[in-house]
Amino acid sequence: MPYADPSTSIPMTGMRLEVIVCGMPDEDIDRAPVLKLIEPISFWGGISPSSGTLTDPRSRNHGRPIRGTALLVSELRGSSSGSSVLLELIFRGLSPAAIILDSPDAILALGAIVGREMGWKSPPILRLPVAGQELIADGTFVSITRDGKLTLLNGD
Amino acid sequence: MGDYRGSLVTVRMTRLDSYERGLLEGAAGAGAALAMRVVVESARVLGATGLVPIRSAHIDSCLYHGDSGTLFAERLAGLGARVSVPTTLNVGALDLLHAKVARLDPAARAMAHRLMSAYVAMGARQTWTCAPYQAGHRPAAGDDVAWGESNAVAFCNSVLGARTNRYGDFLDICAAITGRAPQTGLHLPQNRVARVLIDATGVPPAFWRDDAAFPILGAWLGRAVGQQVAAIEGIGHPTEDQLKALGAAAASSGAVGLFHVIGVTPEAPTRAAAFGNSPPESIIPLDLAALAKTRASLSTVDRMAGDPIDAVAVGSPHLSSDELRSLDRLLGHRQCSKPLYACTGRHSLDALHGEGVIERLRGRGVTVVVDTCIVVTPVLPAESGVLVTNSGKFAHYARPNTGYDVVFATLSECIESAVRGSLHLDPDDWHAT
Repeated sequence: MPYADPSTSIPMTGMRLEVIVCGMPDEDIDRAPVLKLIEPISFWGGISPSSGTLTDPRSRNHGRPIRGTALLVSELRGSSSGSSVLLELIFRGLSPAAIILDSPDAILALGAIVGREMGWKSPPILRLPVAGQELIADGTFVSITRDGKLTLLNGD
Repeated sequence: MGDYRGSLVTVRMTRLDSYERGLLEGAAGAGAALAMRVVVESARVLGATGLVPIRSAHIDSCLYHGDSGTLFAERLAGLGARVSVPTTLNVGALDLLHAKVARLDPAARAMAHRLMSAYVAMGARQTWTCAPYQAGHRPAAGDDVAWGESNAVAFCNSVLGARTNRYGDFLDICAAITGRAPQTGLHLPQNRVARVLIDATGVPPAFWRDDAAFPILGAWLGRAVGQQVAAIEGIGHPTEDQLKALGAAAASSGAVGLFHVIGVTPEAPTRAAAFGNSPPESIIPLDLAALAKTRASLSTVDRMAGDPIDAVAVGSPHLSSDELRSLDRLLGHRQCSKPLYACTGRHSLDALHGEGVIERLRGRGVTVVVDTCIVVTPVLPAESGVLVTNSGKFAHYARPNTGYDVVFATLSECIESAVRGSLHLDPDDWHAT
């Protein structure tokens, strides 16, 4: 899928994302690397809850860890056990710093909602439609404020 | 472009009545308040304007995925939460009746057991099955319920006509405790109307006599329609077990939560009723070529008759008592030379009590797996191999969850293969018609 490279072609300042579920603690993220998933992913079966790595051998991201990333998800395939996988990643400290979805998803949101209720450090879940996701390249660094303002960081 | 603005969804408030507000404020204890916070937050995410009272629940969260799920269930139970509606439990990670079946390490086994115990402590029935609808849990048409487990959801909506969304882990138990679910999706009649017509009248009727026909149709349907509600025409009058196989395959290959079979399922007595008196938005003709292609795609390896196999598995969804009787009849007096796993629930063992079916199957080398199944916990003997199955759902999940490659086959081919110890394939009689 072609997407614009913001470092060369688009003078980007920032984007406003909708906050679906806020993080725990609810605070700004100063710097996180973007991990961009082009292929649809199911958290159950697609991410190992014990190692926090992407497990689909057919994916170009196979084996990459998601911990601490701004995880950009273009399309979710929903096993209803996705909430359990996210909660386990949160519990083990292996979750992304933020999860950015094309559209709100109650199954993933539940993992974050329960993580927050358990008092564990939980990522915010935000919404950015694919058209907006296309402006963010894999491997770049971003900051995300607690109210959902995403900024591409330069000089990386 | 400077500022990119995603299309913002207006966050609507979820309206609560006084009972619901009371739960939130702790009127029924801290456990119910926690459950209500989860329900209300989910409703907000889903954009639901209110909550709907539910009459029953089926819980999928009792399957062990890691210690966090156990800690959450124990938090709820420890805070005094109890289910407020009749509630059944899906499979766990252990066969509680046969301790050696699941090969979990001791720490995981202990946590899986604690998880299952916490749900029992909250008052759920120990059904431990993905086919609760064959274990006496049958809500009436039009009832709002909160069910988890994708095949159970598809059956509940499609075959029983009760109304549920695909409830994810944690929301299922929180709905059972509070008696409320977000009022959205398939709880709303307008979302239950078919949009897509599947015209199967071009498929030779002999195809539907093949016992693999319905999982194949289901796998095709899930891929063809995803989350859209479809109505299928021209597949005759499938039995309940065939509809079960159709729904399970559709719900694993796509996000199908509801389908209609015109003239068969309760919301589709006629084509007009299925479509709410509107014309279909689209019509997809189904033919034998598409079904043959789907059938081939359910196998992950190309194997010829006579090739070696390592194991055979049937029973996803869990086998009904009728299906266990068929297995017994087809196996006859022969002994399995490769492991044959038959996954089922306690309800089927109870229904067959005194018939000798289970005893005969075990005597011929069949491993009857109860309370759990081969794709959710380590049961298969090795880390890889070739598995023969007649289940569309096992075909979907066996490779990622067990490491085994899959050969999809009919029930009789499965049994012949287990007896011979090598792959047996019957000629396709529907190809001749």
